[in-house]
Amino acid sequence: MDPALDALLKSQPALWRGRDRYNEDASYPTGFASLDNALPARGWCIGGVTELLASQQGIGEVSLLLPALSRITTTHGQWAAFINPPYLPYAPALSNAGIRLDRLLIVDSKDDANTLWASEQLLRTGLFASVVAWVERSSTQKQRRLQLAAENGKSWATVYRPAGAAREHSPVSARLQLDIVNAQLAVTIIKIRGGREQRIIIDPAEFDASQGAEWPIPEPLDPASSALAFKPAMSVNVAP
Amino acid sequence: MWLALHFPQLPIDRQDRSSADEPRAVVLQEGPRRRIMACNACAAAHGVRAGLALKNAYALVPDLITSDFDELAQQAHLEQLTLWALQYSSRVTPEPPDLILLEIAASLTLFGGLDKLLTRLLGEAVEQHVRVSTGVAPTPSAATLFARAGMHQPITTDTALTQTLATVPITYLPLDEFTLKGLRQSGIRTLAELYKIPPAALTRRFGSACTDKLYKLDGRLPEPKISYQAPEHFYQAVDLPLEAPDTHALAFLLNRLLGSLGGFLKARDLGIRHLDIILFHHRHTSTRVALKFLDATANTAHLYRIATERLGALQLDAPVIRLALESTELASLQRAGRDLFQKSQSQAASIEQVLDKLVARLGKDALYTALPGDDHRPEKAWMSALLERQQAPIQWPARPVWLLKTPVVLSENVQLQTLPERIENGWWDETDVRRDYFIASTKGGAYYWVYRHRRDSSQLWIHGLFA
Repeated sequence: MDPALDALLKSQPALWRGRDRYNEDASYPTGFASLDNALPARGWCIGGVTELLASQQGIGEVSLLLPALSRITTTHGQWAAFINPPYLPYAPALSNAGIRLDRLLIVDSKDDANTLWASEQLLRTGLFASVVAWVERSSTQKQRRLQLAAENGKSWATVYRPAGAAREHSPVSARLQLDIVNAQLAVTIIKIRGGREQRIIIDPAEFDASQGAEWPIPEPLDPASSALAFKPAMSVNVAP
Repeated sequence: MWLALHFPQLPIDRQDRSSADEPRAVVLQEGPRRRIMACNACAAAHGVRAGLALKNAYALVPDLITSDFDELAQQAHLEQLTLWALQYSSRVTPEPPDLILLEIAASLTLFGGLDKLLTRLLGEAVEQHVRVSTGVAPTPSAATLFARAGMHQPITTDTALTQTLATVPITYLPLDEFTLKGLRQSGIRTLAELYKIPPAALTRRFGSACTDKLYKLDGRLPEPKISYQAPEHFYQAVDLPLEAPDTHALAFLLNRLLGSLGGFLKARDLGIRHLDIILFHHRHTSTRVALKFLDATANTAHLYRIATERLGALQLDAPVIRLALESTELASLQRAGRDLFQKSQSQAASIEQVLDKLVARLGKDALYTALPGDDHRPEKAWMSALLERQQAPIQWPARPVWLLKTPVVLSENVQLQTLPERIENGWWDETDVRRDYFIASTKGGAYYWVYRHRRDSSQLWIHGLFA
C-alpha cells in the first residue's frame, strides 16, 4: 500500500482497520523481502503458531526458516529447538546458514503425543525463542494448546503438518501452504491474522543467498547433454 | 540457642493415613507389661492415652487396632528427620527415640528470625504428616523439657529461662520414678523449690544425676552435644504401611525421603546428579528407576516433580512394599553469582530444569544438538552432542538440511544439477567411502542430495534432502 495513503488512513481516528491490530506485533524478519511484505507483522509472528503445510519434502520447506533461526541463535544468542524432525538435521548445512549449533536443541520425541507435549513445555517456559515441531496428526484442540503456550511464552512456534491438514480447522496465527510452482517455491497464505490470502513466489536468487553456501550449479547445462539426466537402473557414464 | 523438636506420635504418624477413622494404637512391650505408646485421634477421643495398660485400653475401646512398636523403623524415621533438620542448622543431634535438638543461633539471620524459621519448619512437618512439639531455650536440656512439656513459647534470655523454670512442676524432670517419688514425699513440687536446696545437700539426698540434670537446665553445668555427621552417600529406605499396587501411593513417602535428601545435600553442600529410586517387591526383584540430571541440583521440589513424572509412567510388575532413595552420583552445585545491583537474574525456570523435564519423559538420548565433525564423510560430519561447546565454524559446500541415517535407493527420474563432488575418505576405519555426490532435482521440484559409488555407478542413492 502507498505509504501516503496508509498515513492518511491512520490519521482518521474513526476508521478501524483489521490489520492494524496485528501490524505492531513483534516479529522475526523472515529474511525474504517478498514474504516479509506479505505478512502483516513483517515477519514470523512472535507469540503464535505458524503452520507450514508442505506438499512434499525437499522443496526448501525448512530452508525458509533458516535466516530467522540464524538471527535468533547467532545474533541474539537465544535458544531454538527442532522437535521430532523427520531426518537428521545435517550440521554442515545448518552451520552454512549461520545457525549457532549449540543453541539449537534437537528433540527426538518419536510420536505425536510426545512431540506436542515437548513443544508445549518448551513454548510455555519462554526460554526458547523458536520451537519447530513436525507433527503427523493433530487436532483443533491440540493446536489451540500450542497457540496458547506460544502466546504465554512469547515464542515463535512453527508446526509442520502434512498438506492434507489444510482442510482441517486450526486456531493458529498463520497457516502457510508450500508448493512448487514453475520450479519455484510458492508460499500460499491460507490464513493469517490481520492479513489476507495470497500467494508469494520466493525468488530463487534470494533463496540461495539465504543459505550461506553457494549453490554449485555450473555453467548452464546443455539440455542436449542427456548424460546428466539420470534414469534409475540404467548405467550412466559421466566423466567427472 | 537450642530448638528441640519432639515427635510424640511418631509410631502412629508412620502408619497409613487413610484409616484415620479407625481407633489405632501402637503398643510397647515393657517386660511382662504391654502399654499404649501412641494412639491416633480417634482412639484418643475414646479416652485411650499413652502409658495406659493395653487391657485397660481394650476395656475402653474393644475394637482397638493395635500394632507392635518397631524400634528399627523408629530409628530409621528419626534419622530421616535428622537429615531433614540439617537444612535448618549444621548442628543437629538426634536424641532417640523421639527427639531432635538443633543449635539455631547461627541460623536465625539466614531464615529471617525465629518466627519465620519456626513457621517454615512446622509447615514442612505438616507436609510430612508428622506431629511435632517445639521448645526453644538457651540450653539443650531446657529446650528438651519445654518440648516434652508442650511449652511452645520460645525462651530466649537467661532471666526468662530462670523465671520459667521456677514454675515447672518436678514431674517434667527426666528422672527415674524412685527419685521423683522421694522428691514428692519431701514436699517439693516445683523446680523453684529444688533450686533453693544447696547442690551438695541435693546430691547427698537424691544422687548426682538429679543435681546434674537440674543444673544443666539453667546452664550452670555445661552440656556438650555431639552433632550428627551426614554420611558420604545418601541411602534411606522406608517400609510402606500397606502394599502399594501402583506408584501413586508412593508420592507421600517419596516426598518424605526427598525432604531428608534435601537436608543431606544442604549439609554436604552438594547437588545430586544421579539419583536412584528403588522399589522393593515381595518375592520379586526390585525395580530401580534412575534419575539423571544434566546439572547437579539440590532443589527438592524439582526432584519431586521429575520423580513423580517418571514413576507415573512406570508399569509395576508387583506391588511395592518398600521404597528407597540412593544417591549414585553427587557433584558440587553450580551457583550463579548474584549481582550486587541487579536484584535477581534468575528466570522463572532455567533451561536445565526444562531439559531435565524432557529427559525425564523422553530419555536422555532423545535430546542432542548437531555438531559438524572434522571429517568430510557425510556419516562422520554429523555428530550428536549434548550441549557441548561449539567448534570453530567451517564453511562447507552446499549441503542438505536433512540427512538420511541410512541412504536409500533412488527410484524416480531425476535431473542431476551439479557436477560430481567426490568424497573419498575413511580407508583407515571400517566405513570406507568413495562416492560422487550430486544435487538432483525431481520433476516435482524437490532437490535431493544423491550419490553413486565409484565402483558401482549404476545405482543412485539418496543421502539427503534440501528441505
